[in-house]
Amino acid sequence: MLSRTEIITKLGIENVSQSQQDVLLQQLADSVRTRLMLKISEKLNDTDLEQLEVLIDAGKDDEVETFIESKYDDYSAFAAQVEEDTINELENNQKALDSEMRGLELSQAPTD
Amino acid sequence: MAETVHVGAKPETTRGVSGNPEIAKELLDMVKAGKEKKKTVEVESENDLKKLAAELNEQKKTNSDQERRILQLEQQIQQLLSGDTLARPTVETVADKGHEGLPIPPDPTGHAEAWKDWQDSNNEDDPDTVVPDHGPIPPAPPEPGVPLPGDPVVETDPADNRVNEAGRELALKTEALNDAIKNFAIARVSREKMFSGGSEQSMLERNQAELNDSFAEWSQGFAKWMVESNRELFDYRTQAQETHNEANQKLAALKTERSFYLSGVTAERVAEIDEEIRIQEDLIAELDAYLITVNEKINETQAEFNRIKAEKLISIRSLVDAEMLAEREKNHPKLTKLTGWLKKHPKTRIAAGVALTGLGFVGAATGNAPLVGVAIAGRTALRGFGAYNASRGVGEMIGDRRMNKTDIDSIEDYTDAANRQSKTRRRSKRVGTAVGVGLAGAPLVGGMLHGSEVVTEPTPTPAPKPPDWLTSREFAEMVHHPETFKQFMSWTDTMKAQGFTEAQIGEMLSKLPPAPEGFGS
Repeated sequence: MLSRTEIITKLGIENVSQSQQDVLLQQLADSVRTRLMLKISEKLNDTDLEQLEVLIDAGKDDEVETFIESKYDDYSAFAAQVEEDTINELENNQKALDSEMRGLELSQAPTD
Repeated sequence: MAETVHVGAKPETTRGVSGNPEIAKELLDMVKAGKEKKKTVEVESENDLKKLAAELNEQKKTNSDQERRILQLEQQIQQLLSGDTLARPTVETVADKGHEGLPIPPDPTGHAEAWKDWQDSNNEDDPDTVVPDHGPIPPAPPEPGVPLPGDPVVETDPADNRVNEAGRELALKTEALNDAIKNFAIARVSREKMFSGGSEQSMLERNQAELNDSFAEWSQGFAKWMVESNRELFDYRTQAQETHNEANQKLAALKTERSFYLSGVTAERVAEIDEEIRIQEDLIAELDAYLITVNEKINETQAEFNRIKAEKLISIRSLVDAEMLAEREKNHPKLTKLTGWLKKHPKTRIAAGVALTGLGFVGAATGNAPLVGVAIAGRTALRGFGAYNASRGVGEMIGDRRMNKTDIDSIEDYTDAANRQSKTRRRSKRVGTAVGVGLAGAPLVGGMLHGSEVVTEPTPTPAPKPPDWLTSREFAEMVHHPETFKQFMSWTDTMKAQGFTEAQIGEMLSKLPPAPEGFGS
């Protein structure tokens, strides 16, 4: 599991103030959540959704969670993997952007 | 049964109303008055209606033009997709119509009128000018920022222009990326349908490629914007460092001169050297402070860029997923129930990252939240932020400290160095003034204060001629004098260790006053 420092480093925001880091980590948590919701939605068929609808309408929150988790061998591992993939993708993209910037800076640097 | 009476009914229908002729008459009068009133209203509104009709016709014409343009673009797109780029457009274009068909563009700047006046005045002066039969060519659409003859010279800041241009490019690329994300989401979810086939697959592949391309374009645009925004600061630092190096070299040379010839020069010359040493030391101290400030600003700016960069990347990632989720909800209405439940239960372990949850960050957003973030990414985030403003702040800050100093004359000594700056870019008046005041003692800025706004192309430094002393008889004799030569070589090595080149050492020596009793005595 990634530590805060590792996540901060991967996002390239080590030199950002802690309060701003917190805001970004919250945005990241929102993003991971959206991605998990999408992944879950892809895993469920219409029959599953009907069953879930019944559970939700009955207010059986715990059973809703259990039902969804039952669709995965290890839900925690799955969620951790989605989270890590998201963070790694962001790391790659921010490095690609840095590389692009360095290229531009070099191309504009004086040659003499 | 009594007949029902309606206001505006025909007179004959009123005959039997309660058997009372007065009522019938009153009713008839009312009807008459109503008709008169209607006529008046019709006459009054006729003009308005005509105007309205004219506006509608105009609107129709505009719509028709737009439809024609859309049709034309669709045809061009089809041609591009089919690879038939040589096909001619079938819709009549402006170019086909010639000048007479050209619409006269709106001219809020008044440039068109100015052009016409200028052309007219030139025609008067030149009787040989032939006016074509088809009449004067309408003025070209004025390009923003293009000065006209007689216009007052408006100073524009190239740095601002570059940053703004990069910002505009990025805004366009962001819009294109948002579109590509939307298209990809639709294609991706369409592919999930039970009976989807090859066409959905190929559409998905096409949209995926488009999304990747758009993201690559966006990345380039974003990188460009960041670099352009930061460039001024880096330039200032580079120039300040170069100036710092030159000042250090000059200071070392002065100290060397003083120590070597202290016994051989007049007290007046020693005082001069001391004064020059003081100037250099002041300048170096000034540049040290300036560099610290610039570096602080660079660090601040880079931190802010990193923050924006991370924010945008997260937003884009979220947008892709949110768009797909929204598309899936459209196709699976029951899914809305689940997503709605998840949104209402932010602390559920189901939709939360493990590490982030451990750190206390639970995703509380709805699926739609990131849409807003990216939608404004291309515009709002780019306004009012730039290294230029930060760098101006540096200039002003130093300006406050320097305003009371009186050694501005010393700038003259450094203008040569300004011309030798390896990086020469046009500086705006604003930059020149702001930082010029601040760095009154700095060579690179001195050039701008005393000359034009433009730092000229670097004057090629001619290869130094071998100094006369090198070919002199005295030098030849000295070489044969072991102790003197040893001393000379030791000094030369010291200078080299301090970063002086052979040529600079030679130049330095050539400027030294001749030793009264021979070199090294």
